[in-house]
Amino acid sequence: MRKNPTALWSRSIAALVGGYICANALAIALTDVLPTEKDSAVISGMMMTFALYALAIVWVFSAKTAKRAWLGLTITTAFSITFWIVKRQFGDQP
Amino acid sequence: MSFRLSITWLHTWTGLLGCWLLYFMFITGSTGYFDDEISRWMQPEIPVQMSSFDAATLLPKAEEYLRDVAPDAAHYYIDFPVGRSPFYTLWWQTQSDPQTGRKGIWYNKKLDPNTGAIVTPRDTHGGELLYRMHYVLHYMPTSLAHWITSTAAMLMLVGLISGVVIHRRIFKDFFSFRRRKPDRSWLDLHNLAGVLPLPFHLMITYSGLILLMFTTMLAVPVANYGAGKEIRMAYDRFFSEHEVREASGNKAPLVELSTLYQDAAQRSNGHPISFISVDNPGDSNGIVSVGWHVTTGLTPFQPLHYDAVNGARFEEQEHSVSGAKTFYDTMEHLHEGQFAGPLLRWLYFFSGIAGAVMVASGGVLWAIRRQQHQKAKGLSVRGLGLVQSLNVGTFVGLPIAIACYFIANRLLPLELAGRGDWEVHCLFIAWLIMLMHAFVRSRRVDHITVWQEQLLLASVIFAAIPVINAITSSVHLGETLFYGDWVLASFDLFMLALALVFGVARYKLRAKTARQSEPCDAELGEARL
Repeated sequence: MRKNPTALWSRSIAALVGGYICANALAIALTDVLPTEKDSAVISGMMMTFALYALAIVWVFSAKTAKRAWLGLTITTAFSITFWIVKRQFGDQP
Repeated sequence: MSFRLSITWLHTWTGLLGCWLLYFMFITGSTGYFDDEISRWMQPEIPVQMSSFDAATLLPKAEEYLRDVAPDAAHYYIDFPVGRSPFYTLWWQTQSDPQTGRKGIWYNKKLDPNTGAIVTPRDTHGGELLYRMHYVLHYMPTSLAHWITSTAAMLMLVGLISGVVIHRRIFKDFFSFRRRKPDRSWLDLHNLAGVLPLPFHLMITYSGLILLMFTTMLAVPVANYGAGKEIRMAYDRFFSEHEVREASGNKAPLVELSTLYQDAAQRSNGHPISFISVDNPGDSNGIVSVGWHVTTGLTPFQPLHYDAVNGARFEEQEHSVSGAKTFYDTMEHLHEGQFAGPLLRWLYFFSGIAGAVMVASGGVLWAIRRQQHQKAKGLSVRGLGLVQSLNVGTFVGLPIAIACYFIANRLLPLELAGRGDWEVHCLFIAWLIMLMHAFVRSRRVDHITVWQEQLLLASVIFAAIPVINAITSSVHLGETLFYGDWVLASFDLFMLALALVFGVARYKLRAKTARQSEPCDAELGEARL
């Protein structure tokens, strides 16, 4: 890592910022899946976000390359948000 | 780039980035397990409760006082002297601003628990501020502080996870402490302080993050409720313990609180009543809640609720508590440890100190490794001096600063305007001086010498606290030990113990340095705290 400072910075930003966004997106999607009523699903989602964030950070640093880390985060975030929007638009409203 | 190396890198740098602030949070947070005791030491004017609380005569006085001083308050809260808290305190909150919706301000007055007379203790923020600093910091808006402390906690969480991943022999190293090997002993200390209380570290970090999530993790609720009024209503639903009744605006006299106190005392199974709170006093829709002090079990009891005008008790509603709420509450209680008795409280305290030792030894270890690297390669490592100075100035400087907070409490003139604030300024001025000392001195002398100087000062200043206390107050060791007042005596004795710890650390460091002075490569790695 020392040899490639750009990749290192890239990874760090991916972990810090990308990880935060990705964890929140995942948690938002999860609140729609949880089998509880909305209030507690939201609270559960919030409480889960930190674990997801930590996992995302560790995962970013264990990915083979910085590029892969970014790609993984982007796909997860995009998938979560799409899932949430689709569920909102077409899913059964409470 | 191997997985292990990558995770090691992550551990090293998250740890270094967070270690000074985390040390501050661990130390000040740990003092919170004894906040009432510290507050008592810092307000020696407050009389001790001599007999059981005489509600029949004292409560009417309190009601009269609250009616006089705050007839239009939104809330009354009466705190009785039970358990660890020796204070009999009246609180009242002004009405919230109808325009901005901003909540009203809480005021309080302390009373003599024996006579009900108003006491005017010295102006201090006491142990409460010291403990609150671990998540609201100081000199900045609360929400900014929540973001900063949450970031540090997140670094801590990542540090813990990555630490476990890179720790190959986590169970074997549980019990190994190689004191004679240079730099190994620091690593072992780091592992010992990190691994042994690991469940505590994980719990305290995660629950801490959860307690501040209403500032830091807004995406989920905003996505579900929007950013407007609905989100506040959802929070109210989540937090309210009983049905909230809006004020009607019609005046109605408040029921006599002592009758409700007696009624609750009969239903509390012998537990002492710890508080009475009144929502919308003097309004026909007011509610009185009475709660008692329970020391066993994690689950808090439900207080009793009464109508504030006719005193009728509301039947307990069977309202089911969701799993999420139960988890949140459990996390909060685990974090705060309100349920903990004396033994468990000390365990909490020392686990927190172990956290401080873990982050501090990590910071020291970073410096040692860089120094070795520097020596081996003959290159100068950028930032080594900075880290070394921050290490001493924080790991020893902060305890010195807290000692100055206690000393300022005894030495600042009682009539000084803003005295309580000045005590806190003294803390931060002292810390700043210690940091400056570390930076300035390390330009001239070896940083081992800087450690020695600050350790010596720490030892002297903690030993001075009981002495200054003896000169300036009547609650010194001679009195407290004689009358068996163990809370106050323990404070002074603990200060002496700290003086001893810092003194021994300094002595050992000096002995090591002297033994090694021939090749003149004094190494902090040899020293043990």
